[in-house]
Amino acid sequence: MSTESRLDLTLGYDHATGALGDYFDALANGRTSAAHCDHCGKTWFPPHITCPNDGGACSAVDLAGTGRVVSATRIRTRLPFTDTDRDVIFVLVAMTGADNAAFGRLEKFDGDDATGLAVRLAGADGPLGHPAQAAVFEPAEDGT
Amino acid sequence: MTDSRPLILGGGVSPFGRHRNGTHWRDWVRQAGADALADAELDAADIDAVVVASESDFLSLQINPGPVVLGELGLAGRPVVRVEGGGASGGLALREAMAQIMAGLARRVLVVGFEAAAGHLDPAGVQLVYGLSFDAEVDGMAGATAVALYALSIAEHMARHGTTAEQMAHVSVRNRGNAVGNPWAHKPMTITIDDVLASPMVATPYRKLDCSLASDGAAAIVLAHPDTAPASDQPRSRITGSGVGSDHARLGDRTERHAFAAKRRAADAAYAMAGIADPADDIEVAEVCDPFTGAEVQSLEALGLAVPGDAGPAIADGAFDHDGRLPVNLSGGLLGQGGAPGATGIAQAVTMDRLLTGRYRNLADFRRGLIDVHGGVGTLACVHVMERVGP
Repeated sequence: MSTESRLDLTLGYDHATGALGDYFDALANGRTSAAHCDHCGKTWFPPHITCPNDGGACSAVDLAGTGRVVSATRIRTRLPFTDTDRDVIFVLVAMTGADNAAFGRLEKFDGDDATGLAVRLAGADGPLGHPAQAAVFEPAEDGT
Repeated sequence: MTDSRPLILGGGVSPFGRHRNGTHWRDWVRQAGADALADAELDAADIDAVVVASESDFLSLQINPGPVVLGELGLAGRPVVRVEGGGASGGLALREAMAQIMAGLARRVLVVGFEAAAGHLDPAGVQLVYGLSFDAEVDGMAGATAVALYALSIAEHMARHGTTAEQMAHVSVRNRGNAVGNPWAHKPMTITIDDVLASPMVATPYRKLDCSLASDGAAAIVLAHPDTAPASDQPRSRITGSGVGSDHARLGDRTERHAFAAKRRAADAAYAMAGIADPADDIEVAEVCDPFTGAEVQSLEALGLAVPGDAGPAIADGAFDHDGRLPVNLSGGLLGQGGAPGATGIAQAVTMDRLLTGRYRNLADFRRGLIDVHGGVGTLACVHVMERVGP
């Protein structure tokens, strides 16, 4: 006879940020710490330690902290390791000076479509479920 | 010299669904494996290697499932390799079996895939686990979910090409409708475009009926070197092309965020191996990865079955309907049949084998078809071409 029973799993995990620690520290302070590939010249934000395209060593470089939203979606979700659902606008933002786009949340925006919006990296207030959740953007006067 | 590209000898699928009925994934594996061996008219003793696909040990509560699967199928002691590549796991397992056969490492390989993705881990746990499917440390922990990233990708496709919600809704209507009558299907539905457009918004622009369900289920298939296949007066199918491609794990790192470049690379390799120059003309039927309606649009274009930007209008015109110029997802795809990641690519191969040998739900037989799966947001793609051989 088959049966079903409830198994309650509680998993604790001692998490380390590794070589991305400097990026997360900067993110928490609203600073745009990117990586510049010394070989191909591409600039990545969020950064890579090694250039994913050619394996070149990357050097840390700070960007101005502004950019434009290239894509946006509204969703009700729960951020990892937090305990409440909330309405969120997730965005991809092309930061000025970067060759890629950054995933994060857009706050303080009430419009319908954020695509093309000038934004700045704002950092996050309050406790986070993970340092990556400090990737928070706000509308900016000039995000070119 | 014999062409060593493998024949399909038989396959089986344990129905996809939400199995809150006291059964365990080992039960589904046993059924799918037994059905595959029976369909191939083989015994377990005829199998000399096994490849197992499953996406996540968080879902199965089983690390190193290979030997467990062997035990369930009476194959203890055989060589076994477990393959994992997210939603591409089943396709990658087929490729691993194909490589073993073509390299001479094995002659008859049983490929088994399973997933307990639907009815077991709590929804919050499922969301957390699947958030690890991307660059977990940078994007996943920031809150990226499958639907959010797919939504960001298709939003750029819509802006660039004018793809519409109505065109994408047609995918949901067609695929869920195709699943009606499919005994393996998780979510067969007869719905309208208006039903899709009126369903609750999940992540703009995706609504509930634009999204597939995570399924429980298993599938198995027997591949063999042509020299070791039992004589038969019935048609068989064989895998004639295989390709794998990848793209940046972070969607934001890609030069084409609106397109599935990894799939284009995988398809190009598979077509080259199969000797296909014009896939839009040469492929007659396809099972295409459709975790979201827009992902089918993006997949059709990456596979070369539609010109970039034309898939949406072609879908709305019925080009990929069951009676269109190139039927797509006759099984129902992930939207209709369901998505059990480890099993999906293998179930596609079982479906395609039956389509090519005239054994699938009384549908007209086809000579050449394509199966396609991917993991992540089109991040790791695996494409196979299959063809009918024999009488």
